Amino acid sequence: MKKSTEQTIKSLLDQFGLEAKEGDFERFGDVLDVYVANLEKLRALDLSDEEIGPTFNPRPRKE
Amino acid sequence: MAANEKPLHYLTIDEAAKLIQKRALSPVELTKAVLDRIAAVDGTLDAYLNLMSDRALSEARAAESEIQKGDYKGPLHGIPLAVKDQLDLKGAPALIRGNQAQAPRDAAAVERLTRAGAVILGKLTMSSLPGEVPPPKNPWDTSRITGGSSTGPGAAVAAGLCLGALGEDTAGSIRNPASLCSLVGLKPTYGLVSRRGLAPLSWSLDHCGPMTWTVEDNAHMLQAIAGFDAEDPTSMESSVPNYTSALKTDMKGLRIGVPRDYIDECRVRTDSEVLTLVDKAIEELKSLGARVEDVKLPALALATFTDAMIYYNEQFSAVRSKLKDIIKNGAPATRARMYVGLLTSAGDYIQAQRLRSRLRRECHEVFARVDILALPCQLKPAPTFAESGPLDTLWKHLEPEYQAPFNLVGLPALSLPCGFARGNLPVALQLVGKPFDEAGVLGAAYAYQQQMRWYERRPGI
Repeated sequence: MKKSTEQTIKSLLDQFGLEAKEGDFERFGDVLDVYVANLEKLRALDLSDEEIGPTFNPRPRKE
Repeated sequence: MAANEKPLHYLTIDEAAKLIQKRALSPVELTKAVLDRIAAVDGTLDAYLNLMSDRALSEARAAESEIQKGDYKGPLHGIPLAVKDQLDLKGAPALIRGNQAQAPRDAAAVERLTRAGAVILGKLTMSSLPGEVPPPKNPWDTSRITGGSSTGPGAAVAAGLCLGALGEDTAGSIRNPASLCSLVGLKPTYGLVSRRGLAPLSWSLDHCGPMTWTVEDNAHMLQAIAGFDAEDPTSMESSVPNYTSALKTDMKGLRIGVPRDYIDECRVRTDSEVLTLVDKAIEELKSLGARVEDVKLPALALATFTDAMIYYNEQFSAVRSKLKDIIKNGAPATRARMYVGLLTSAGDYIQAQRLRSRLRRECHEVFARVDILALPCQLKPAPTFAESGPLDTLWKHLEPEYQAPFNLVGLPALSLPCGFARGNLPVALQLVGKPFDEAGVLGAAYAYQQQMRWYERRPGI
């Protein structure tokens, strides 16, 4: 696992007062690195004209 | 093989219903035959988590009494079905919820099945359960997996341990086992089938749907469970058509779109036999009268990952208060998803929802020109247990594949058997329709099914 990813997870778990289960960084390191790489692709995607507003429809459903 | 030549446990819902309606078959006799089948075979397959024989026989006797009095409710009356553990059954725990609390009532979809007169056999196993629960074996080859996460339903329906089952699909979990076990598996439109009583994995991606041997069986089950439920805040109001009357024998006038660019992107990870069989199936659709054209959906490229990201993070949010216990005791895949949840920011989640909007818009534009999409359903035939690992699903969802994108946009998507690869391993075609056009998808699927008759082949177990 990339050091930066490991440190991020450790830091975030620390906020919960937790530690990763022993061996999990070795067990999941590769898959988490690929996850982060895909996350960066998603972040880089130009979605300038897309919004999520339609998700929130204030019209009450018919009962 | 005609219905009267088959063992009772291998009757389809439609065949059994016709016999039950004319009182040539008793629901009690049918249920006992299926229970005998379970006793004979489930020690090998491990499909059932909680077999509720008393409930099943009580419901079968009630159905028999009603039918004898002339109160026949329809094609599910007296039919033995089972449900994935994720769906609540009154008085039984849902192991996936991580506790032994007994559900106070049946899930909404189960209530609708019982209202239609169905007999509920019990709960079927699924992936990622806490504790040491053996994974079910694929009835086509017991050294192979069924595919998940509706693993129990996949094994049970294929082996005649129930005549149909309710599964659940967040990123392919109905269509995956359906494709590996030669079933018809439908992920309906989001909001068509109530999620009340379904243990949530991901609120905006979970879909409850039927897994059956044939298309007409799927239509029968969907007819019973579809429709608005005021107790489910995501339930959509839409008219429920007669799905059985939509079943066709040809595809004249049907416009089918094939996302070739996307299939090419997935090609390197897709088994060559799967691609060959799916291509043959698409040619068969043409011979049935469909017009087939290539379509482009560029947003599909990151859709699988986006679905997975939303799924893992909604799950993370739902179980966040139990993080300590999950890190300590959870299944490996569940623990990995927690780490994923920690790595993902709110901004990332919003970006994912914006990609979702983009894909929904692209699909809307494509469906102005075509009625149905056709593409592979699976990357490969069922692997062996030796070839599989606890993180396979995570890895699968980090690269483009065929199932998860349609959870993202909530479209109806059906896994339909289209042949067998080496080793007699099932392969499926996937048909995807417009929102709430399950009738169109089932109608087209029926035409192909009747032409090719893959359902005539059963596993040898």
